[in-house]
Amino acid sequence: MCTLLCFVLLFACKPKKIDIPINADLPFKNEIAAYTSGRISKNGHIKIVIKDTIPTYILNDLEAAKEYIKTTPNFSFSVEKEGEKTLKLMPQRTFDRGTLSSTSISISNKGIKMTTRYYSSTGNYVNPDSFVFGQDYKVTVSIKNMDTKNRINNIALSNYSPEG
Amino acid sequence: MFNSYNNNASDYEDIKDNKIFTYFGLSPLQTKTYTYKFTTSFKGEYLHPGFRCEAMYAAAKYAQIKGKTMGIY
Repeated sequence: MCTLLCFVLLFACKPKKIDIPINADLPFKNEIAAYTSGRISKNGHIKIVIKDTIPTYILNDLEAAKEYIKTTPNFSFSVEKEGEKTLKLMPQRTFDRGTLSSTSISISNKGIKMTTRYYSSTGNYVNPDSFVFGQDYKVTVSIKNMDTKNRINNIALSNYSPEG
Repeated sequence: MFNSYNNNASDYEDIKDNKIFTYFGLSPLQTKTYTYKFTTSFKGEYLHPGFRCEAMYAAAKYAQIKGKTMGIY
């Protein structure tokens, strides 16, 4: 599992001095592939540089790559790649000045790659965070054997419906 | 609660009220895609447990997508 955490400070306009919690992840220091902190402007982006090369199945499907990225606070974003080791996250909303945000990438795949996408009944991609009541949707689950030599038999895919 | 239909054949599919288990095999570098259709029948916020895919007799080979809260508004 490749895990990366980065902390950024999101600013609207003027810079403001804020204590950056550089020791926030101290217990997990050995597990972190990269670490950065800083301030970004209102129109800036969050840049994540990973120590190792980003898997091609993520670079080739950035929409699906969002599945692996978690942001706090939770916000919608678009993703662009910059080379083979860098992802750029563009938040789709403006944050209050001084907002502290964390972003993590967790790739929990071993030998099998799985991606999901949600679509409306008309085939348009939809954000899985929010659905419209009374509508039909589709979710596609793609599973790929990443092994170049060996077949994998007896794979089980579990899909539970959301419950409240 | 939802129906399913496959773009790729599975060996076996177990469809319950609230879950679907799909069983299949993959050749090297082969991709299979399964599509599940669902209807948002009740408003509210729900926890989706995520997806998990695992070779039943080779536990070292697996993939998972974390669960998340989904809203129906």
